[in-house]
Amino acid sequence: MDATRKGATARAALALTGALALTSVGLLGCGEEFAPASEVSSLRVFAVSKDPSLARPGEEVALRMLWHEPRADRPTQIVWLADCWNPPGDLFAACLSSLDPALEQLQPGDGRVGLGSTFRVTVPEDVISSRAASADADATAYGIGFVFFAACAGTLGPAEGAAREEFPIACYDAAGGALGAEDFVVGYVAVEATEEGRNVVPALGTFSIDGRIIPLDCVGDACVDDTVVEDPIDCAAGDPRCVACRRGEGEEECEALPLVSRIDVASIELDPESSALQGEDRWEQTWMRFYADDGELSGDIRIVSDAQSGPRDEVTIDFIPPERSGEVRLWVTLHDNRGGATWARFRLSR
Amino acid sequence: MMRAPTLVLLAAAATCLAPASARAQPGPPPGPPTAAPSAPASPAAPAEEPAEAPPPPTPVGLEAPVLETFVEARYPEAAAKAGIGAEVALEIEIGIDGAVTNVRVTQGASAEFDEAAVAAARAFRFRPARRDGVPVPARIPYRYRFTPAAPVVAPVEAPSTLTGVVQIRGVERFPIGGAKLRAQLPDGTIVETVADDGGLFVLPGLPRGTIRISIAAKGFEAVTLDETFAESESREVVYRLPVSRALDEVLVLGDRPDDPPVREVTRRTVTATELSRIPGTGGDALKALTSLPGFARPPAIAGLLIVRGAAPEETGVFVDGTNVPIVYHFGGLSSVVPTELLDRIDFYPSNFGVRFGRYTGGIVDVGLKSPDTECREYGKPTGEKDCFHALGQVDLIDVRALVSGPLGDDWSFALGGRRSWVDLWLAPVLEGAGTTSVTAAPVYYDYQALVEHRPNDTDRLSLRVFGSDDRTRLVFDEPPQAGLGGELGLSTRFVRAQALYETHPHEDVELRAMLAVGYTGNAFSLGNNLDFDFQFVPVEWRTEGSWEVAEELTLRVGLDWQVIPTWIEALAPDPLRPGEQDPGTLVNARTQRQETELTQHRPASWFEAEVRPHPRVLVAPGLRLDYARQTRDMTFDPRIHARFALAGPDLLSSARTPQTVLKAGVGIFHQTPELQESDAIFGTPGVGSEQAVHTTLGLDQRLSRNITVSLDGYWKHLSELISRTPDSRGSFAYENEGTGRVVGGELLARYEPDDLFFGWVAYSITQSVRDDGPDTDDRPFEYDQTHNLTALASFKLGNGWEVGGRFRLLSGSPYTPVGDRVPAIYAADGTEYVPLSGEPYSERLPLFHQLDLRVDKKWQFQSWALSTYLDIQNVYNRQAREAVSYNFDFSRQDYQLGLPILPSLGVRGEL
Repeated sequence: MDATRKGATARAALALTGALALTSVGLLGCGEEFAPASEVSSLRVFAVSKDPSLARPGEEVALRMLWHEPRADRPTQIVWLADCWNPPGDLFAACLSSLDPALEQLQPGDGRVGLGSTFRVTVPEDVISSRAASADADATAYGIGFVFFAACAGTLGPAEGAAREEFPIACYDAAGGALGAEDFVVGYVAVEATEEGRNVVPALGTFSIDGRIIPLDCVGDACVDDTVVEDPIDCAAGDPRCVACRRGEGEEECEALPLVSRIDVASIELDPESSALQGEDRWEQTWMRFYADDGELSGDIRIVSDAQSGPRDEVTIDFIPPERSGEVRLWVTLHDNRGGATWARFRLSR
Repeated sequence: MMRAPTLVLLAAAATCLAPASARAQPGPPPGPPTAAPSAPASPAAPAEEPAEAPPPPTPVGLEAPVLETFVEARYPEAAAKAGIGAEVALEIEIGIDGAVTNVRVTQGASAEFDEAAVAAARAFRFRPARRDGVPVPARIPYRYRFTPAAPVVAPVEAPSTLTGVVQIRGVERFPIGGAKLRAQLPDGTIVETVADDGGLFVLPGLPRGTIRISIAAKGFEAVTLDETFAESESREVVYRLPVSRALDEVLVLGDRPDDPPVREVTRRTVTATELSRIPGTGGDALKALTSLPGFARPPAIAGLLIVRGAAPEETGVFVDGTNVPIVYHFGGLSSVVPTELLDRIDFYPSNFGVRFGRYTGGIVDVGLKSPDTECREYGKPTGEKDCFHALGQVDLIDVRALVSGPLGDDWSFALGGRRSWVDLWLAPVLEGAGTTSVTAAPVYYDYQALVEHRPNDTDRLSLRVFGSDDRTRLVFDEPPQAGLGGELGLSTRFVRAQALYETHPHEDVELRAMLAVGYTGNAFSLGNNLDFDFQFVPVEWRTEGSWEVAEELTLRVGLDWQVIPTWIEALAPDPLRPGEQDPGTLVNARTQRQETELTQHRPASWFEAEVRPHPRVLVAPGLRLDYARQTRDMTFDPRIHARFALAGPDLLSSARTPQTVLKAGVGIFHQTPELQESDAIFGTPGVGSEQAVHTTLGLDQRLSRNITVSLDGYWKHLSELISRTPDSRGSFAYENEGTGRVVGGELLARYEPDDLFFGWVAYSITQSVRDDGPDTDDRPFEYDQTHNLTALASFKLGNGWEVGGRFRLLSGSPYTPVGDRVPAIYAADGTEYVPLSGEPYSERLPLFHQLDLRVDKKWQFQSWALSTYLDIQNVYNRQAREAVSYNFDFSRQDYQLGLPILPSLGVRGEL
């Protein structure tokens, strides 16, 4: 960018800020009110963990998926496709055309294709050395690959008529009809490697609702595959997971209850790469995602650690219990921007 | 009561003392008749009377001195009481600086009268005599007449006749048709006449004595002067009126109706009266520009200039030749140069002349007006030029103030400033919304300081400092996207110190030099992911010369030099190019850092000839040579423009009578790559300039005094566009492999302002496509706008009331839809869905239409005015579909809506 054309970026940034500000105050509006991402009513993939979250060349990385299909009568198929390292520009989209041969093989076990909630992939030894060196001598050398996955509440199969740049797998119902986004989730996860690379996965602490610490159904890997045995909630016995629907005068909706998540601050690190690039301490960015299959959450994302201001030891989100009584399942995922991810699942009863 | 002594100033070429006077040089062909020495050019002269002997002929190429400062002599007391008059003949020697160097009595009256006359004459100040435009010393005869207070009754005698032409000051041979002349005879009788379309007038039957002549024309400053006639005199004069500096009358866009013909193909005229009162713009002339054909409506509140299917960065914005980085504050809320300081806006949608380069789209060149020192009563000029002015305005967005006035002889100043006060109400609203913590709400301000020296009508030295500052900082509690956490910081600021000098060393030669030194800082940061800090210290130098070799030929040459020390710190992922697949969330984006210092050198020179082989034909070929050291790229841009008056008056005429002009132009334009495209970290060193060939053909038709129709068709072929393709090392490389084309037509039918009404209908049709490389297909350009119709009108209702409306109907912008089968892919690291794009820009938003209304009311008092306006955007509250919004997994879509009905109230006081 030069001085005579720097206006392009300046104008774009000004426009972005103006739009952001006006959108914030509602001068620019959205049309339809979409259901929030936190509302779980169909097949969802919440997160994928990587162990290690930041690998070294030649290392094996275990991928585990946290997912949920609310319609228990429908089996869910999950496929993993891995055969793309260091695509041009590190763009995942550049890998899509290379997935085609992997699909034809669909033979789990060769390291490129996998089925089920977990998958292991081995980082090539030359993932870093095969890359062109960065022109920035201070930049951390790295390699990157993309592992694609698809979760299907039906039957997986080759996508008919898919273009070379499109995802080559589709999801079909029993009648052979293609299923849409509610039943078919396509995703990817990046597997990164550096010579030194290690990243501490951020750790969750306790959760409390309306001031009461609540027991969790599972944390981390234990939640994978939906095999957790859930203990009964006995409200008569004063189970802290029981929430009441309190209504203010004239209010139809239940009062919001604060759901407080504590975080193990010690697990949140300074980001060495960003700190080196910025020339000052920068924290890894860490955030939480919230999901519930009933009731309402006041948001679906909260910042846990800001790059500049650092970590917080707790975040709060409001939960509005549903009108009708019953159990509500909630998922909370915690992520950092260096590949770390973990999660917890718990229930509340109304 | 004593009458002002009468002045007799003879054409004195024969008495010039300069050695050069002996040289016989061929001069330009004689122009229209001029008054015996320049009376119209010295309206301050109290009177004049012919010499007893007829003036000797003026040698070719010689200009007589003109009295500019007259000093009244002390009337001898005894003679005054006795009612005795006298006449003292003097010989005055004038130096090349216009000062009187010697006074000699050639025919005295009495010691007292002689002494008083000599003392007064020594204090006179002249515009020096000139030979071929160069000041030379002169000696002139001068008769100082002392007239007693008692009125002198003119004897019955044969009347005199005054004939002449009214022209634009500073522009030779361009008459002002329709100028009104008002003559007040010595007995108080008023005689009036109107100049014809050629500016010619006749005032017959004038008696002996001093007659006060007032000349007025819309768009020009009124001039009042005295003409003194002897018996049966026939005098021919040229009256030159300066272009008005009053806001309501300033002609600001393109060429003025009475200006010399433009060399560029597109010829449009819009006045500040129009631009400052177009509904929906808040009175901002630069915002109102976008109501003209050639401009596309940018995405909502984007504040971008999209001209004839070009990208915003392909259109350059200049202030008197100095490049400025932005034209609008945040999101187009207002422009960085307030309307009150605008003298003109030259807008070249394409096919601009060789004076400008380095851009392949259009050019907007804004001129700052001279400080306003004109005295006015009830809003009308009094003719005095030593008044101070102040202006204050407040509306919902900002407050502004402007003061101007004289700074002694020939100097004047203006100081202006503006600050937004959005932060006072936006911060609480944002925080009240609960999603964002605002540490510094959006704030902008701009400022301008001007000092100007005008030693005469044609020369000008203007020293300016102007700048702008926009900044904001937001902290997200709930980020709109994972990875967008942290702070959003933005600041864009620039300041320019500019010296502008214009001079006419000879009546056929005009020189213009501009030197500007400035600072531009752009900083943008977003958490860990993005951090830009660009700093530039641009030094810009322009020198331009124009020489009217003959009536048929004018030559122009210029240098345009930029030296830009640059400091860059950038931390960002690879930028996404239009048409490319979304790279995913910022969480996955590997940032790269670039810290560099460099100095960009961009010398350019240009040459242009304006050939007028016939009064109906104008052809202007030119050549521009550019070099960019950064990319070691040298480009040659030949361009040519032509105009041909098919019917009606010729091209030199300013008559507003039916006329048909055919116009055409073709030229080559180059634009150097942006730094990130040629940078070693983010781009590809060696990538070259982009090229465009502009071709335009059009017709200007004046149907009547106020109604014009302009039709333009254009075609732009774009080549060597910078695109990005995978290279052999598994990364991306920038190459000049893209092509494109823009084809369009524009129609502008307008009613030029009169006392009651102005308005226009503008329609543009455009097709703009790009092809990113040899392996890709044509795609619509992201700023393509097929149809654009604007109709606006404004009515003066009287008593200070004015109402106006603007209606716009235009095609929706193209956008890239998501894929049919799999609309998005879940980026598990970023916990966001990333859209999988369909065909780039293959769908369009719905039609946009909007009605804006504006009501102005002005209260004019003797020395000040108060005005207020109500500007209502989107009167029928039709929220436009500005973009497509999706649910979290892109399986459902809806439209993002634009601004609802939005009234804006402003109040303004002018002193």
